[in-house]
Amino acid sequence: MIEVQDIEKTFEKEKVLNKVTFHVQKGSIYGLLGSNGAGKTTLMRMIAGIIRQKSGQVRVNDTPVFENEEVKQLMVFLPDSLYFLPQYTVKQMANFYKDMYNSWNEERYQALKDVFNLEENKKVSHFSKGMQRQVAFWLAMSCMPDVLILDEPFDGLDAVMRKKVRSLIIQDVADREMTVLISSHNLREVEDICDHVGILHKGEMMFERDLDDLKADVHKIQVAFKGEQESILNSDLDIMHYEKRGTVLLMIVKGNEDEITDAIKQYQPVIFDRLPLTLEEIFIYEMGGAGYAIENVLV
Amino acid sequence: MPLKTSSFKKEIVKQNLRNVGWVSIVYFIGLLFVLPLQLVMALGGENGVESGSGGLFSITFIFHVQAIFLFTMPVLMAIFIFRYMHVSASSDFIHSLPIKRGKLFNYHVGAGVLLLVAPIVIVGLILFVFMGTADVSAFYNLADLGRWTMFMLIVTLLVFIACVFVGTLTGLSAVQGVLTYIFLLFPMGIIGLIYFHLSFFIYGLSSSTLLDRWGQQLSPIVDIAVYHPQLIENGEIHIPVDYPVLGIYIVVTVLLYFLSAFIYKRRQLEAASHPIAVNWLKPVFKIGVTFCLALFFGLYFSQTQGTLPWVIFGYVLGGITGFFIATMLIAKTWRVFTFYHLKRLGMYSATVAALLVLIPLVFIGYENQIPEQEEVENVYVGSHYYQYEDYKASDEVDFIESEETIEAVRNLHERMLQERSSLNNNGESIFIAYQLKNGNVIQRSYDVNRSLVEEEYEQVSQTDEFKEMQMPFLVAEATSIDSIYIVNPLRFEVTISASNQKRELLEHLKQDIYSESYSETFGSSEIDSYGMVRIDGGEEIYFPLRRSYENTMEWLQAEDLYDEVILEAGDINHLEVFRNGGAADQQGFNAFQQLKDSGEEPLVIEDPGQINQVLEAGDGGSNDAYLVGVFLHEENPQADMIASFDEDEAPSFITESLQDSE
Repeated sequence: MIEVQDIEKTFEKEKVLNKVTFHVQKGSIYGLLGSNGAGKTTLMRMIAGIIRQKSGQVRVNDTPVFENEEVKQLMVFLPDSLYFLPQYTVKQMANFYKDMYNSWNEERYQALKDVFNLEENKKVSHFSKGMQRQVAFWLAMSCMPDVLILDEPFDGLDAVMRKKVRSLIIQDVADREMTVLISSHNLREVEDICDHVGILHKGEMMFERDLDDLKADVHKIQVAFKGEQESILNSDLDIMHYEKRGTVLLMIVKGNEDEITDAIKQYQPVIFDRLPLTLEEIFIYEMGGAGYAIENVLV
Repeated sequence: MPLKTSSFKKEIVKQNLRNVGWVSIVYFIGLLFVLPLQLVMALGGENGVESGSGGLFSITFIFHVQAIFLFTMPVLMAIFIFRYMHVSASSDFIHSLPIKRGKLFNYHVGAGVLLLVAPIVIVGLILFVFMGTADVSAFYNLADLGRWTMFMLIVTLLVFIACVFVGTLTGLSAVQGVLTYIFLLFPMGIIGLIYFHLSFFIYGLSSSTLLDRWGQQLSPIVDIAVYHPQLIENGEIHIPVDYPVLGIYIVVTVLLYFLSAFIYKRRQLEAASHPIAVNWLKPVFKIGVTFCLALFFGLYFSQTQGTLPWVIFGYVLGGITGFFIATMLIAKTWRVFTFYHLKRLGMYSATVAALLVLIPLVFIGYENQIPEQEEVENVYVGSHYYQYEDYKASDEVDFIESEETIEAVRNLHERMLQERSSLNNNGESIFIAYQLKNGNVIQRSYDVNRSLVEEEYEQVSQTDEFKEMQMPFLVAEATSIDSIYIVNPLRFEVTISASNQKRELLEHLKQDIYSESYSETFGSSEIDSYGMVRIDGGEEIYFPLRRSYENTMEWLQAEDLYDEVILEAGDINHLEVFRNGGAADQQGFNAFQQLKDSGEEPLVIEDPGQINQVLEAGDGGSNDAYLVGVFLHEENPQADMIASFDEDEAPSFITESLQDSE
């Protein structure tokens, strides 16, 4: 659905994006992670067709985005700093969107009114920051976009609202295969919604992963053996990290779960537990392997 | 997906109306006040009817206020309607919507045009309705209304599009406003500055030739600001901007529209809030500011100091100032004094220095060119280019054609080349135009100290042809002369319109002027009267009315006009005379005042006989050995007029008593 190929962008001789390539499949929710200044917003503005890349290609639905009305009809972009037309009420903003987007769905708009429970005839600027973000979602979802681009979308939303918005997004993804691109500097914020994650660091795409694969692929294991503790380390297992806690060996192992279980069983462990692993931990170990400390990449 | 119902985005137009409708309303109210309301007040007759043929551009409709609206409202409109482009958040929002940039641009320009045209058209309609309901023929007719509407529409749209154009180049709304006015003044300013400076380095190039011809028309602001409704003459229809220039405005408006649309589509949106939004413009801007400021400082020092080292100093100072100001503006910080920028400045300076050395070399041929005697068809000699233009346009065109006079002019020209000093601002202006037999025209303008070219100048100025050229009424038919005015130093004016009087006066003037010696030709002082002649409704031609014009004076006495037009002892209370020992560094009134303030005791003359002697003593000289303050009333604290004369012209009682007092 979204294809980004080798794009580069410079601001005043400073390279902001360098050969960035990634793909987002239809019906997927892609989390674009990176610290401040990594180039996330620039990349998203480019995908939204606001600014033009210096080189490379940005395609949505197999067509270039820039200055393409038809493709942009399918997309809604919510920037991190929201903008509403000055002095406009929610209703007036809705009319504006309705005029701009052919896919505007009035029933959806009316239905969402109850979800968000906001005053329709109040000026948007009179709402609090969090409420303004709800208005933005309300309007965006009413456009029924095929592609939704969200830059730091959960800033300023309380936990209840976050949950509400998240379920709205997931519902649309499930119902009509909406594609979502979400940027964040906080992994925890997106790990429960995304199915794919890419990490942008200093203008370059460091790596991309399918989260389901990732979770299935990396395991945290606690073992203890009767005899020689260290012999397991020389096995075929792809051990990304280990530490000794007394007689217990804590390992992060990459690979198929069954194969790992079989391999370890051969050493006849006294203790063998599989512990839950957070996404953050996975990244720490994955990126540690790549020579980065995650604190430098994500906040 | 639902079918497209309409591709016209009415919400964008609606949003513009909500956003900038107020500008339109202010414009409307403004025009309502200066046109219909003024009309109603004038019709009410409280202040009487000031009829004039200025139509809707006349004083009744306070044109200068109209002009202020004309140059502020379209700029405000353009700034506010494209404000979204200069704010990052709104720019991102608008440009993320499914609408092409070109379309977006057109929607905004279209809304702006609509909102600017509406007030003008509505006010025009109101004025039209007045025509049917009241007698407004003293103020305007249908043609006047048409001209007004056309003029307002064209200039409003030009200013609007110019501001839109500047807006696409910059990323800050304030900069957009300032740069728009600079842009509208720029063509005239830069050409004037360049020409002025070229005239320093190219001897004989007139700094005013080009500017006199169409300088003000290069800038709509100046062209409209210098319009005076009261200058309208002879029922001629005047419009603040000439029709051909209005045509050029239309062309420029269209060009700027396409250029702005082109730039808008390619504009980097991330440039919002950068003073200069387009990269290629940055060096242009930097060099432009540097260059202009250098010229401007040079101009300042040339006017105040008048020597080449000072002018060069001005270039250097202005250049450095301009360069760093421009760099700071672009970088948005004052900390730009780095080696990198210094290197840039050095490169720029080297280029300009090379140009300064090279340009005069290129023009050596131009400077030294004096056409051969046999090449010349005829010659014009005067003091300024605009006189030449006026003369050419008048009915009595009679250039110098005699061989001897052409020779005399060429001698003068040659002599001036020998005495070259192009920075001299205080000398006599001499303008020469040769019409060559091959059709070419050679024009030169000089400022020379007359004493250096005295001999040659006398040869030219004593010819009848020269005198006739300066005073065309000498050769005009008496019947073609509308009237003659004589103005005495008390600003009292006498009109001579009876045809036999005109004829006789002219006859006597001719005798006196033709026989006038060179030493008499110069230096008329404030105590002399002067006359004005208008031939066939053309410009007025001035002539001095000197006491030494014996024939004319006799005639004036015979006609009982002498008392009225010539200042006499009877008009004067007393005179105060100072010997100007060169103590005063100023001239005329200021010099007199300086001497008076210094506490020096003047020679006071109250005897009418002596006053008359002083009045007749001379018409002033070049070295002002004596300064005479003329007091019309006892109680006047300051002299009403100042006269002066040279040592040898002074009446003996003055030289004696002032010599004694020292």
